[in-house]
Amino acid sequence: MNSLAGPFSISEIEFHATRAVAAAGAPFGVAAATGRALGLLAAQDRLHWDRVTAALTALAEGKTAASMRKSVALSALAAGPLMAIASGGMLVGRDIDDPGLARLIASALSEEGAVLPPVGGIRIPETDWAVIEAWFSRYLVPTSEASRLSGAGAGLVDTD
Amino acid sequence: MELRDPDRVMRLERMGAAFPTRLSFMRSLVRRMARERWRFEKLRFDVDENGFGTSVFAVHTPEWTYSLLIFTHDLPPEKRTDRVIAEAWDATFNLIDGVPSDADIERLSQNTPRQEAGRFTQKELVLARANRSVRLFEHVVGRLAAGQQPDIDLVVQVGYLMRTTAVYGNGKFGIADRARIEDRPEARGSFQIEMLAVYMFRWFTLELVQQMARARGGEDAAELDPETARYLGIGNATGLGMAPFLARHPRLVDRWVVARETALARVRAITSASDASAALFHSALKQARLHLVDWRVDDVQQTERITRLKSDLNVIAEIAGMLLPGEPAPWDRLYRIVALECSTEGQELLLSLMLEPHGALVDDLAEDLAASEHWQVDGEATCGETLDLLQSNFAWALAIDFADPVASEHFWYYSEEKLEPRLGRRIEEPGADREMPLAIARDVKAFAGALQAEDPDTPLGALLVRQPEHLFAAQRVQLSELHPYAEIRDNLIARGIRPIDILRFKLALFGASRFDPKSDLWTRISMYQGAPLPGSLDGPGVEGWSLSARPGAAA
Repeated sequence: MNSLAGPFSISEIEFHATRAVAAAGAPFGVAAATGRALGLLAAQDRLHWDRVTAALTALAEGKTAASMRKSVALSALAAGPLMAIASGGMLVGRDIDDPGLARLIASALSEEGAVLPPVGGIRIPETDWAVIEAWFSRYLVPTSEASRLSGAGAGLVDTD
Repeated sequence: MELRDPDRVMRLERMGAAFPTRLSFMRSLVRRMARERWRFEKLRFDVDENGFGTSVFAVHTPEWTYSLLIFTHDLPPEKRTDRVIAEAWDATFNLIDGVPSDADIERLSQNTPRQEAGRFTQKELVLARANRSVRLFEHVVGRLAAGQQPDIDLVVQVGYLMRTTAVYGNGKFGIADRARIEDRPEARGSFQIEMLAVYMFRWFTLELVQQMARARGGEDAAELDPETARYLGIGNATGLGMAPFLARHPRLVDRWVVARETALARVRAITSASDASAALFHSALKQARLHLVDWRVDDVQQTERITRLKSDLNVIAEIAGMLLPGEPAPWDRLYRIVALECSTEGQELLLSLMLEPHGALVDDLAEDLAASEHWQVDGEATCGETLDLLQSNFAWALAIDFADPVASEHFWYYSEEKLEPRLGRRIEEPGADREMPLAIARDVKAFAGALQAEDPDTPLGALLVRQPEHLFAAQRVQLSELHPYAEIRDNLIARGIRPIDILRFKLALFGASRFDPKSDLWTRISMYQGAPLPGSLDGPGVEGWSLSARPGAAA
């Protein structure tokens, strides 16, 4: 049985998933919408995380292969709520890898009302979260001695 | 009375001259504490003579109880740094929803000291840490233990016993999402729960030095003079993290600025000043002048600005003396003259001083300062309509020549080292392909190009499906229609960008004072300096403490 990672909050999942989607190749606006949706869906236990990780892979492969079909796997649907408003069924008509996931993301972003995670936090299968984290880490910039010293404030030892 | 022009207000030069006002988050929280008679108690205070141990301090609001669980540790000097990348601290703490059980304390004792490396639950509302002031903490303990008061000049020079180096809320590392508490009256405003944690921690630091002094000095130990205690705030070292927050929360920024600008407009619209309001203004002005005497920093530019500010306050005092209370429309006239005669810092300080006598008129604006940042793009808008809106509200961005490398010299990023936000140089350093979305001017200008290439009647949605890279900019442009103060109207990636201007803007809204820039990238500040302590919330000092004067100076 797969062990579970967490507990996570909604905003924590949103933060990591947004940047994971961006690292996989989606523009930031699309990634932010997708990350938000994934956080909300996770809180409601409505996600199969293996489908999310598969979509991230498809998105990234689409980018490297310059394949329009795959490059919109997440991004076209992340424009889902936009499309849902703008042109109704356009979304469903698009040639995407996982229209079910796409519709789920779109619906999460369209729903009204506050979503609360369980008091004990949100748990995600460890293997799937490891994939999200692997993508997330690609959004981060490796550190160097120069960036440690000049990229942010304060000294490395404080005597004040 | 119209609000001030966003093109004037949302420039970094003015944002970096902001001062706390009576609408600031700390001020509104203290006001609520006093009004609702919040009750504070120490549930546990187990610290040794070195101040190490476990403590639980609680506060009871009319409906809820919150507890600050604090672990205080032995910290080797070489590990004491204010940076996010620190791995050990003098104190680590959580604000907890309710009262922690023994099991909670045991669980958190394994996690809170590890900060970002720990895991938390929806019962924890805030995660934070702090370091002792090397200059002041031991001095105060030693003096009190010896039956003496601390050197007041040193107290004034430092201003705090400990300083926080990060205060995390809203779901970080598994703690509660804001949605869990946002309907509670005391949590509806911005950062009220985080500010409550800091307020309680300030109380703890004062109790801690007293406790340590008693442990060391026994019956000979002195009690810290109440006026000195009140003067001591909580320090904070603030770095780049606040900048991406502002960029990610444009609607919230707009709410904050609209509240402040509306308050200013209401006061400027007053046709005549009462004797009482004039007296309160002059009192606040006097206190600000005393505050400036002790506002000393190493930064050359800020030192020059403080010097100018002192002369500005002389100008303000002279003009106010002529206009208040007898002249018509005195506040508007005062503001207009000062806008011509004084520096930007002088103008923004005047704003703060003008609000001070007018609580009944403006305090309602500090309530409910929250906003959701999740909105959808209207894809039915046409590209022509969107372009018109963009050209109207982003002229400042369109005027920037991004063909010049200087205009995009920097990029913002998260370092893999504890996700510390950093500012890099695009050409020299790797990572620009992973930059944070803070290049709003550049992205909006690129979006303008895409819009211009479209038939004006094309639905925006059709463009965005083909070119989803413009979705982010499209959101910002549509947002600007109803939220004029949502954007910082400067290029955040240009050569010469001063992130501390962004930091000061936000910190002033929080209610911080004593801005002490240490470079263009970070600043020290004081929080709650001069604010009433839990035992004196029913006294006269609930208002007017933002720019506090040194103990004894106001007498």
